[in-house]
Formats: sequence, C-alpha cells, structure tokens
Amino acid sequence: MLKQSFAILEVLLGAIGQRLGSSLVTIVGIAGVVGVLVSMLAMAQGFQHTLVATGRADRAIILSKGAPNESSSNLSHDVAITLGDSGGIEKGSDGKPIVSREMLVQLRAPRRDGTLGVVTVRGIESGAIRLRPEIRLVQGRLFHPGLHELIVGRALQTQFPSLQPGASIILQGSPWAIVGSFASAGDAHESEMMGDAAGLSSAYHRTGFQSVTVALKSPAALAQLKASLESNTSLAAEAQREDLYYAARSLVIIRVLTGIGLLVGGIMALGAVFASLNTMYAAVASQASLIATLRAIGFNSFAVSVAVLSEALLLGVAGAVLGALLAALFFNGHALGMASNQAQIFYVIQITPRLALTGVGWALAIGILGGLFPAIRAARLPLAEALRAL
Amino acid sequence: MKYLFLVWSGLWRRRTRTILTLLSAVVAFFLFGMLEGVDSSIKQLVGIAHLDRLYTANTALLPLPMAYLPEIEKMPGVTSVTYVNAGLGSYQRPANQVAIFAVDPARYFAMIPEVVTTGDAKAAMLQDRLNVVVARPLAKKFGWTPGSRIVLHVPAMPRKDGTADWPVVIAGFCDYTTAPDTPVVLLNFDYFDAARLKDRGTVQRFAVKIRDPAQAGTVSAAIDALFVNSPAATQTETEKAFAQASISQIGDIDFLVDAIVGAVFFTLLLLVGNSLMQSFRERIREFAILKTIGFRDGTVAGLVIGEALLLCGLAGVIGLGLARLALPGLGRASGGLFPAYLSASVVAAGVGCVLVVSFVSALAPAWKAHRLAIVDALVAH
Repeated sequence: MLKQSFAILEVLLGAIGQRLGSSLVTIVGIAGVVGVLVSMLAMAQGFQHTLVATGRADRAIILSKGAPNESSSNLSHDVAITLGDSGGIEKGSDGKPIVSREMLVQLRAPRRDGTLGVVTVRGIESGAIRLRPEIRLVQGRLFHPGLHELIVGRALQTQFPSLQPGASIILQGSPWAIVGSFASAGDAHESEMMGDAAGLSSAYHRTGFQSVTVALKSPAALAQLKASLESNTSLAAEAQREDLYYAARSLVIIRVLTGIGLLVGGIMALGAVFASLNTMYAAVASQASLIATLRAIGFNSFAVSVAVLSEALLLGVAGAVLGALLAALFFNGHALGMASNQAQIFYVIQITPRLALTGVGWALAIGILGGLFPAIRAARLPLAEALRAL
Repeated sequence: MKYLFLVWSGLWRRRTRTILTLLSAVVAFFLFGMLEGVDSSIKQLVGIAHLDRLYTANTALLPLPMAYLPEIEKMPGVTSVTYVNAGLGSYQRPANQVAIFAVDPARYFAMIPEVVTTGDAKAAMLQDRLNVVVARPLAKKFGWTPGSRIVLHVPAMPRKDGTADWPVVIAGFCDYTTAPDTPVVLLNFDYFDAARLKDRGTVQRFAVKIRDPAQAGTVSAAIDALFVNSPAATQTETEKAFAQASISQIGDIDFLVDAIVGAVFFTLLLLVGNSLMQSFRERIREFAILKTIGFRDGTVAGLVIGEALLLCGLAGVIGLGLARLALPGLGRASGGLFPAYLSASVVAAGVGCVLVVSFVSALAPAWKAHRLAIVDALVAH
C-alpha cells in the first residue's frame, strides 16, 4: 500500500508544475507563520538567556527590604558596609569577604537612530572584578578609581554610537572619559557602563548604594546569609540567589514575547491552513481523473489519501525550512533592546536548530489540517463522474 | 454598480476557493488591525501630550525633596506645579491591577484637566485623607460605590507598619479622558506620606505647567540648573519627550509590527493573486463570450479588478471589524495599562491596503483579460 501511496504522490508532485502558483502560495504562507513564530520565540529566548546568564547560583544579591528590583532598592552607606560581615559570604585570599557594593545612576544618550535612550551606569568597587570573573576587557583599560573614568559594555557600545572608548560624556556637568569596553559573557551587564562607585557617588552627591552582591561559600550558604540578615532587623535588607533574581526579572517579558509569538503565529497559521486547504483541493480537483483512474485499476483509496496528505506535509516542511531560513537571514545576529526596569537590555537574537524544529512542528500541523479534508475528498471521489470528465 | 451582480456571481463561481481565500484575507486584515491598533494606540499617547506640561524627576528615579516645590514654583514662566508618587498595586488578587497615584488633590485637579471628577468626588477627597477617587470603569468592575471601604495592596509603597496594604474609602469617581481604561486610583499624598516606610517628604516627580510652550526648553534647563549640585539632580522634559522615552523603552515595537504586517500582506498578495489567476484561467471562454456580446476590453478587465476589490473589501470589513471587537478585550487583558483600540488612521491604512492588494493581485489577470482575443480564446478553450 505504501508503494501505491508513493506512486500517487509521484504523480501529484509531477503535476505540481501546473499548480506552481498555488503551491508556492502555500509554501510562502507557511514560511510566514514559521518565520514570525521562530523570530518571536528567539527574541524571548535570547532575553531569557541574557538575563539568566547574568546571575550565578553561588552569588547573592542583597536589596533593601521590599524592593522589587535593584533600581528601587536603597541601602544606606553604613548598612551596605555592615552587610559585608554577614554569614555565608566567601572570603578572598586576603581574608576579606568578596563583596561588591554597587550604586546605579542613569543618563540619557542618543541611540543609533538619534532618539534618546536611557543608559545605566553601575558604580562598582574593586571587589566587583573578583566577584565577577566573567567580566573581561575587550578594548582599552579599566577605569582608575578616583578619576572620572568609565568603561562601556560591549552590547551597549553597539547601540549608542557616542559611547565608545576614547569618547567622553558629561555627568553632572563635568566630563567623564570612556577608557575601555568590556564583555561579560553576553549577560545583562554588557548593556551597562561601569565606573568607580565612590567617584560616581560624589559626583551625584549620593551616599547610599542600590545593592550589595556577594560571593557565597556555596549555593547552600544562602540560608546562612539570610539567617544572618534576619537576625539583624535594623539592616532591613533581603538576600536572593543572584540567578533566581535575574530569572524572575525576565519572567514578564518572556511571557509577553512568547504570548505575542504564539498568538500572532496562531492567527497566521489559521490563514495558512485556509491557503493550504485551497491548494490541496485544487490539487485533488486538477488530478481528479487521474486519481479516479488509479482507483479504478485497483489502487487503495486509503493510499490515495495518504498521498494527498503527504503532499500537504511536504509543502509544509518546505515552507518551514524557507521560514526558518528567512528568520535566520533577517534576525540571526540582530541586536534587540528590551525593557528591564528603567533601562534596556540589549542582546543578539539566535535562531537555534531547536527553534527551527518547533517551526517544522507547526508546519506539519498546518499541513495535516490543510491536507486532511482534501485527502478525504480524494478518497471519496465518485469514480464514475470523475472518469466521465476524461 | 450595474455590474455588481456579474462581479458577485463571478466571485462565487468556485465557492470553496472563494471562501478559503476570503478567510485567509480576513485573517490578514484581522492581524493588521490588531497589530497596528496596538501600535497606534501606544503612539497616540505621544500625540495627546500637553505641550505646556513638563516633568521634573531624577534620572535614576531617586526621590526628590518636597523642598524643590517652592523653588520650581518661583521660576519665571512656571504657572503651577503639582507632584505625584505612582506605583502599581492590586485589589484582592494580584491579577486585579490598579495604578495608584498619590497626589495633592487641590493642586492635581487644578492642573490636570484630562482627569474629570464626577459630582462632589473632588470635595470629598479634600475632606478626608483616607478618601480616594477611582476611575469609573474600575469602580464598575469591582462594584465600588461612594463610601466603600477597600484595601489596596501596593508593594511599591511599603508602609511603616511593615505591610503594603493601604485601607482607603471610595470618595467618588473620575474619568481619565485621554486613557479611559487606565485603572487609576488617586490617593491623598498626605495620607501616603504620613504612613510610608521611608523617603518621607519626598516625591517621585513634579509636573510643571508653563505659560508658553515655546519656552519649554529654557524653563527645563533653568529648573535643572537649580538642582544640579543637590543630592538629587533633576532632569526636566516635556510630557511629549517623557511619553516618547517611555515608549521607546518597551522595545522596538515599530520594527516588529512592520515586519509581521509586511510578511502577512506579502503572503496575502500572492494568495489573492493566485486565486484570481486560477479563476481567470477557468473562465477564459466566458470572458471571450462577454467580449463577443459587446463588452469592451476595459470593462472585462474592470470585472476582474472588481472581483478583487469585492473580495478584499469584504475581507477588510470583516477582519477590521473583528479587530475592532477584539482590541478593547486586549486592552482589558493588560489591566488597562496600555490602551488598545482601532483608530481612524488604522482604518484608513486598512482601506489603503485593500486597494493596494486588490489592484496588485488583479494586475496580471486583468491585463490578460484586457488583451484576450476572442477568436484565439474560443478556439483554444
């Protein structure tokens, strides 16, 4: 029976040239669905990867009690200093705890398209580099504490043409030199600038910090740190595992992007099913006499259905491949900005084989929905009538 | 008009094909309406921005001391100043989102004309600190009436007592005329400030009304110069710039919408074009007969274009109609946090798309119909 299906499929495909237009429409339609779906899912995944990569299980971020995120957290200078002596924190070779007290300021700078964007400048202490071994300079040098110097993240650099090593920007009325650019394993910090916390604090007349990030002795030491913070209520601070903190930050955006992808992809898929039905009905109609002849000489009607369905599935796969290729062509490596708190996280979209497979799955579903009814019609074709038309 | 019947019956010659093509086109226009509707609703926020209104805030959103208020009020060119602390909260369940604005009622209502209170809501809010004014749709949704005592959970506004639960009394309703679905709750700033955990005596943002919109740049610079050496330096910008910056933060919406709509209409163009071409091929003989009985070349071509227009027009009406029905639901699903409706400009763009898709897809078959030689056609078919 399989042989019969193949034979019929061969005939159907051989005649595809006569219906090139409608077959192409089906392929392009499915390519559109897969392209949009795969791109949207890639955006969501890229954002997730970027934020999740920012945090590590063996680090904890301490924020003021009740603060939903880093930028709305506020730790006074004294509290931030005291926090370094809490339990569970890993100590360096010099016997001092590995911590980074960090403060954030934001500024506006022109983006590539000329509009003003928000840029986060993170004031860090020397401990930050030891705490975050993933940070490495790609150009220039590190800022000198005490001087008006900043380094710029690689992702930020691509979006803001004015923020390049060698350039200088005005903060609070005085110029700050950008002396280097850094990479941070593609995480969210690459969308920031960094400078000396003490220098930035004095320029902005600030005394407190936004957060304290600490190295944990082990991921399990978090409990110890939490207990230590709770025992001193005057600190009014809370610790979270850093990876969980960043994963939680990405949740809403991921839901929204995935939701839009599925919704828009789903609506487009509906349209593609109609296009596929149209094509396959036309295929059955144009080959009606041939199918009837084959059935008259003893071909199984189920084999006929399988052949028609197979053609729909083949068109679907062709569409999926085209769609995934187009998505990869247009979006692979495309840098995108997504809001996170007040600033944006920039990341590069990757169309992975896994995403492409999801697209193929959708295309097959469209093929089945679009091919099933025409396949049934082909199997039920009234022989006498179809043959009379010859 | 007299050809309408002819066009109509030509369209329905192959019922299945026409219905399927129509449905695909409906899907395309529905998607167009939804995406462009959301996009333009968001952009419209920039369009309605008041030109004589500035916002003064710290770029890192550090709290600003209340002491800035008299300083800003004294600035030449400034007519009035109000202030606000905003935060997202919820009522009973986290999904019931509300936007809380802690404001000074006297200053706020005097300066923000787009918020219109009903009855004596304004006076009631002034009378008692616990009284709040809520957006009418919100009150309707939760069955609040004047005098209702409710508790709002606002994590962004922690209280001294260790909770984030704010007991309030409904004083009355307001209409937020420029964004009617925003779930606004206006809270007395005095009440908020007295009970808040930290940052007492500070505000998030000042709204500054200026005498002459042309002076916006000068006044902004003057305000920022006042505070440049204070702990919380300010950045003052027009409401328009503020709205634009907020929108651009969401992400590259324009690019996304354009890419998707582009892909959808490109496919639709091929689909309708193919359907018309199929239909034309099947009817070459009929067209030849029409020409034989005296139809002019142009009329026959017109019939083909008419079918395309009718098909796309019908799809446009149904698709945009569905989007019109679905968009408010989408806005509500966001908790009213972003508006979503079908604006006249999107409908106009939709009509444009109907025309473009119709003419471009009908181009080839209409041209062939125009050129059709009676003899050849009748002999071959």
